[in-house]
Amino acid sequence: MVPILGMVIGETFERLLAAAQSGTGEADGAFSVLWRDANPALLRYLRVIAPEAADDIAADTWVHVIRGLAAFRGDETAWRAWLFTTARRRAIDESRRRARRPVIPVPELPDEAGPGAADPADLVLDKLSTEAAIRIISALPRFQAEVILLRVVAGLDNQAVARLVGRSPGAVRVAAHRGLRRLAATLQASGITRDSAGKV
Amino acid sequence: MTKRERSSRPDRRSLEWSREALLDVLLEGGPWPDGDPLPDGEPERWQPVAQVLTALTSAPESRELSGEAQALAEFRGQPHPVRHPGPVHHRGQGWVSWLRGPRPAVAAAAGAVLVGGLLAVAYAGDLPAAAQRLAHDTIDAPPVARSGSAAPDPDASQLPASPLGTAAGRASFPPGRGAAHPDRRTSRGSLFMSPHHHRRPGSAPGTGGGPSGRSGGGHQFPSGSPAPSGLPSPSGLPSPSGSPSGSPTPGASQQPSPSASTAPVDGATPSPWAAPSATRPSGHHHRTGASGAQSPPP
Repeated sequence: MVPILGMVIGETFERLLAAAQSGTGEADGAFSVLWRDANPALLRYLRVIAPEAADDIAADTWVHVIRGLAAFRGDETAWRAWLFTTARRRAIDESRRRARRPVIPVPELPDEAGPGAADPADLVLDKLSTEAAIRIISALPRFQAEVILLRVVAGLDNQAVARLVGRSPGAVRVAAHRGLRRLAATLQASGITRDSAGKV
Repeated sequence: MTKRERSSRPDRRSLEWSREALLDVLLEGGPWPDGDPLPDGEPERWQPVAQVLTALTSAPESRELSGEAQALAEFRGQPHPVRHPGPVHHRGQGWVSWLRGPRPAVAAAAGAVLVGGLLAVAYAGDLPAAAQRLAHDTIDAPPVARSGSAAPDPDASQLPASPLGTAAGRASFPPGRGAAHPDRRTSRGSLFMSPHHHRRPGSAPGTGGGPSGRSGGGHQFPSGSPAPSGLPSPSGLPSPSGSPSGSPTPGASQQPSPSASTAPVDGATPSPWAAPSATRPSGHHHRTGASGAQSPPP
């Protein structure tokens, strides 16, 4: 099995953060590394919890993070927790704003319009692209999908996710396990077995 | 519970434990350890799930990095706490940051100098009369200083409004009443030093201790009429015979002085402040006079 958390910066994070905060000539490059590491994960998370405004919320999140970057203290886990906490709050604000001013629905496009309507079998057979994986996860209940994404995509541990979503670590663990079981059942019911997945 | 069920329960619990551990491993992205007691086919069942999770963390797509230039522009254009790392002053804490600066010490020093100066002036007696009286009442500063007994007090102009400040007011006041009260010490105690107000033995207080021996009720005059000459006034001064009502009298022009409180009560030397002390407007005096006015003449 391949380790999932492959986007973690690791030991160089502290140096990168210090350079980004220093305001020297290295600041832009350091910030760029931080951004390139975190933004894809941020977008994938937002495409599940706020698919209609993921890009806008991500940009707003970065504006907030840039403003508070000088005051930030912590390791990489704290950095990611701060980033995703900010994004989550922005997503909640956005959902409230949309609830106050509902958008007139337009006829949905038959394909590629959103992450929720797809046949898992087709998606898995479609070489399991990131987009397909996001669609599969989006079919889960909201909280289970969010917890799985925060664990897997954001790379946060159980305690950090619990603090972020305001639940107990036990509740977060149970939700993640239920989501994975539901995901396995969905894939199995769709005929996606080890053999078919292995063929991908 | 049969023996078979009892024997199968630990296996079930162990299997569930292993599944939970497997899910944790899936979430953490770690490899499944070899030799874990999962039944055949169980790890394979989770392989598609692992594939999905791996796809979630695959390499970034181009469109996921398309906003880098915009983010960098935002980063460069930030006006910039980032460019000056160090102590961070958060917004919305203006008073906190103000307290941390040097300005509180300067403000405290200025306030101390101001208060100290006011106290010094107050204890030197150089404040204006009203302020000095206030200081005397509140912080026991010296009373209002006077250059001479005849010097008119700026506040004395208010006294004629009092019935005691006029001849009529004094005339309507029963002589001896209040003025000869044994408890009237301090400022009013100087009344005892007036030769006109030595209470005679046997005379009841408040019934007129004047030389005429008349009772208080016999000294009532209509307001505005001059008090008869020779009658003792409650102020202990000779009555300003013929002085028009409403005009300030010499006695009324002098303020009651708190310094009279330190004057000897039974001393033989009349205090220059005795007269104004006696004319100090007092509701008690006024009420006494009013009651005397209502009493029928003998």
